Amino acid sequence: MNRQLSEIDPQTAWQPYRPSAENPWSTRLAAHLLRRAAFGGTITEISRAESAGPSETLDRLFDLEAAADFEKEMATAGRLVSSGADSRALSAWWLLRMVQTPVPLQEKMTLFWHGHFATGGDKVNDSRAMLRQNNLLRDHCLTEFQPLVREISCDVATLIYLDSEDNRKTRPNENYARELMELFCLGPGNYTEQDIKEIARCFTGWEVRRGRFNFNPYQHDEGTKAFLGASGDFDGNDAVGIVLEQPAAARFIARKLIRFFVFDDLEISDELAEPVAVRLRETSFNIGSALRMILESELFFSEHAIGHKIKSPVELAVGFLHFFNATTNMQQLSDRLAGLGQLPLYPPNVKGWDGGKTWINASTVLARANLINELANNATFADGSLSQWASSNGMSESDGVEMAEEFLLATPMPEETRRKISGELRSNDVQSARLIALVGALPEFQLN
Amino acid sequence: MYQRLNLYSLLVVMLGLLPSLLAKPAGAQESASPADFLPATTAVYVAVADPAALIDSVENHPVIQEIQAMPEYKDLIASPDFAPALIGLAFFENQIGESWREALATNTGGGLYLAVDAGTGGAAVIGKSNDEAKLRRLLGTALALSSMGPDGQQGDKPYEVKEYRGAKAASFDDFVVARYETWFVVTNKGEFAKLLVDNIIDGTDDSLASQDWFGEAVEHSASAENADAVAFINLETARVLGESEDIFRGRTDNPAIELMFGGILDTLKHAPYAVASLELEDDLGLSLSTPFESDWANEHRRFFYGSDLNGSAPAPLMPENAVASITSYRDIADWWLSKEDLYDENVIAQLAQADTQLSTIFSGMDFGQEVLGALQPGVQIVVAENTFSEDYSPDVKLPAFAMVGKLKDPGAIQPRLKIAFQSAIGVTNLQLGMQGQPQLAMDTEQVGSAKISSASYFVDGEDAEGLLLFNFSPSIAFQGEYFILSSTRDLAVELAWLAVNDPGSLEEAGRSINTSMQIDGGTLEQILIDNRESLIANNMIEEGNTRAAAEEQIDALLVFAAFLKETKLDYIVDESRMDLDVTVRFGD
Repeated sequence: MNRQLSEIDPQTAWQPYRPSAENPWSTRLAAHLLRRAAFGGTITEISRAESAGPSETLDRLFDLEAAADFEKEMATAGRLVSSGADSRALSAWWLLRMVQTPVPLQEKMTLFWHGHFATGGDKVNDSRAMLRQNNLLRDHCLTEFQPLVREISCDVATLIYLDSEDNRKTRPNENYARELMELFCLGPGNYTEQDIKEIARCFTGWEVRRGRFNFNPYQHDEGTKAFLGASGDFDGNDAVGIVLEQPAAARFIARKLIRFFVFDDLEISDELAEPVAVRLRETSFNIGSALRMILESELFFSEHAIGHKIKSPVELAVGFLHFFNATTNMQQLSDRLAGLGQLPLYPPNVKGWDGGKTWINASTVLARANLINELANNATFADGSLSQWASSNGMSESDGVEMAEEFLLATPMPEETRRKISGELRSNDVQSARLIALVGALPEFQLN
Repeated sequence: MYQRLNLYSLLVVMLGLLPSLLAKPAGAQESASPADFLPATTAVYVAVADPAALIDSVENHPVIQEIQAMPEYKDLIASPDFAPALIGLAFFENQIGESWREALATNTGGGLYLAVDAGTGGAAVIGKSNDEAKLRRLLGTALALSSMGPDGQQGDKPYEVKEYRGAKAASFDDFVVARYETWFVVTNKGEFAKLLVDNIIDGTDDSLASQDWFGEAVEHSASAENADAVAFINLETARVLGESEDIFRGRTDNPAIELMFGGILDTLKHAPYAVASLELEDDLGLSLSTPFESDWANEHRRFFYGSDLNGSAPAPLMPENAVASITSYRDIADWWLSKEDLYDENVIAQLAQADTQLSTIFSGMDFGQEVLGALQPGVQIVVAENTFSEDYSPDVKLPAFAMVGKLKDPGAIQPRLKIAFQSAIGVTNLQLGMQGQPQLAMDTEQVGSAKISSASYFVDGEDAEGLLLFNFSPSIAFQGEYFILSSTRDLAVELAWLAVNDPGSLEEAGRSINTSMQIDGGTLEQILIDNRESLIANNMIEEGNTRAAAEEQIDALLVFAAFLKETKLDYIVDESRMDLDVTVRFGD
């Protein structure tokens, strides 16, 4: 665990992974890929990924067309649960999507963008606007970044959340201009206060009226704006383009993708992020292309990445339900996730969730174990029960712990723990639930 | 001589009785009803005179027959999940040598009873068989099965066999099964079982049957002579056990409960007993009845009973697509003005704050005396299927609802109420505007002889499609002395029309109905059908179901909803008794 960034060679890190004698394609790597690019896999899915190999598995993960019927069903349900102002039901709806989706990478990326363009339902107080933003993030989850930022710049929920519903030329609102650069595109230190003032002028006349975006030409400043080395009569769309032309922009997005998908326990240097940034620049910021580069890299399948992320509460719960082909009351689950610090559609602030080690503290360790215990005992299993699930997945008392370790844990458990848990393994439901609760409380289970 | 004769005679009598005293304890055969041997401390006593007939009524009921004919039911019975239960039942019937229906008929031929005893804290199911041998065999088989492991082999007995005065008992961890001759008892307290056996054998002068309250309750229940099950509840005992509960102290700090059920709380505070009965033929009838005395009525609850306990609910206006209607004698002004005498300080403070705010909306009029005081006693709440325009149809279709009352002096108060309505809509519009929500546009019209003021949402964008707000177009209507406050204009118009053309009626032979409620199952079903998509979406989220699984569950719910035709509840109170009668009618 005590590793240094210097151990990673930026030149070779992003080379495509080639199975080798030292690092063969295996159940463990297949499970790792599905944990990161999805919310984990079932035993069947992991086995299929192992048989198919990394390239074919990635092809399957990136194929978002496979979900047309599911999308239609969920669109109807989403619209119906967003009839009122409260977005809590919408959080439950999204959790259901994550559990049931046939295209999990799409939901994982939507969750990534939700953390990036953080917007909270409590302040927006308009679940239809939250739903529209959620669909926007989903629609653009793997496409080019610039159109997404432009859409976000006139998204009602975003503008309400960032106190940017009103922007007049006599008094430009600097809130959105600041967040555009600091949180969305460049990161701190890559712009000046003057840049903020000038970009704010570009967005004058962009406003929210009666719950919809409106461009008010009378309030737009048509004068010349000068920022980030450019000058002209720019509007908001122009401003987004100029911001994304900055060298820091591609590195900023690359670093965020690496942190979300590869590891979050080390600071990512410019040198390590640069190859992914180059890919972004070469493809007009095509997120799908950059993400594929990351997910098929040597670094992603190396010991530097495996087990070097902590599961977020959403990954913990959705991953559990998906692995056991189980389901539960999503409204109650969303309440529990709120207690663990990650209720979808309710991020803590404009920066989204910090993630990484912040997911774990003295109170959440116990609460996470309790959540798994509760799900093991109260979830509805498609196979009827936990023991029937074990039976239908070929898991027996003799090899149960090994299978759980191989498919469910990112890193092996200590021998003493394995021995202790093996003694608990029985084929009845009560003991199966107890075993799962024990596994769920392991430090290894918290790793992604 | 006289003395010697007497002694001789006494000796002869005692010798003559000795064999019978030794052979057959007094009272054993004479106990026709458990009330004869249940202790005087019995708090609840339920008697099902003919359980087999009740089971027949259930099984032969048209609704049950329809359910049994459903493919889903047949699939369930044929499913592997159900197989163990059917196999177990067949095995059990084989062991006792008759079907479970025959066993039930025989072994509860003398009735099936439930008793809760405050003295021992025990609860017991008591039954009387027509055939001692069959009862012995039934209980023996059940005990043998309880010792049987999953492999069908006899294992350790989970019970201990005991014998007490000729009664055989099996004592489990949590309960006791005992048999004495043709009686059997299942109870959670061994002590209670012993007491019952003692009383059966020895008889008792201090039985439930000997209690005054029980005798009066039996007399009180004369109208329930055809009931399938009757329950007698000792409210004195309930009050002692629940002395800390507000419900038995005749008060509540919930204004809504006070308004709806305040008078019933008086009954619970004073009445010595309650009698409940159940009758099942094609319809299901439930009733709860207690004695009542005028002295029991809290002086501050005139709003509930009316003067001389003769407050009568107004005749209900019933729209064509009414889902539910509750009409009730309530003097709302009297209730509001009595709040200081009914509630604690917190509630009074909240109501006082509401009083001030409402007085502002009503242009400084005193809300209790002048606004509510303008209404005659009696109010109806009606719920009906909503109507929507094609342009503004909500995704979640809520029913419309309205309050109907009568004004004491319509001419004087109508302009005030109209202004207050305009003020309320204005305030609402300000709030909606601040939230970026669609606002309400007001309209005033004359429909027939009715004056209608209504407000409907004005929308000019596609983003508003399907909004919940479209369920509402708040309205008021004046029709003669009638005043209607409705959630939608269409319902207000229909009620105003009914007030003139079909004002309805409400009668109960010679008695004033205090409160009457009706629920129309057919319209309720239609509302559920209209909301099928919303119900499916909610089911998906609440149960975590796929759409296909959610559809299956919701469609099953709709099938069951179709069976409910009508539910009716009447609450009647007079100088001598209180009756709460519920009738549930099932459809074809």
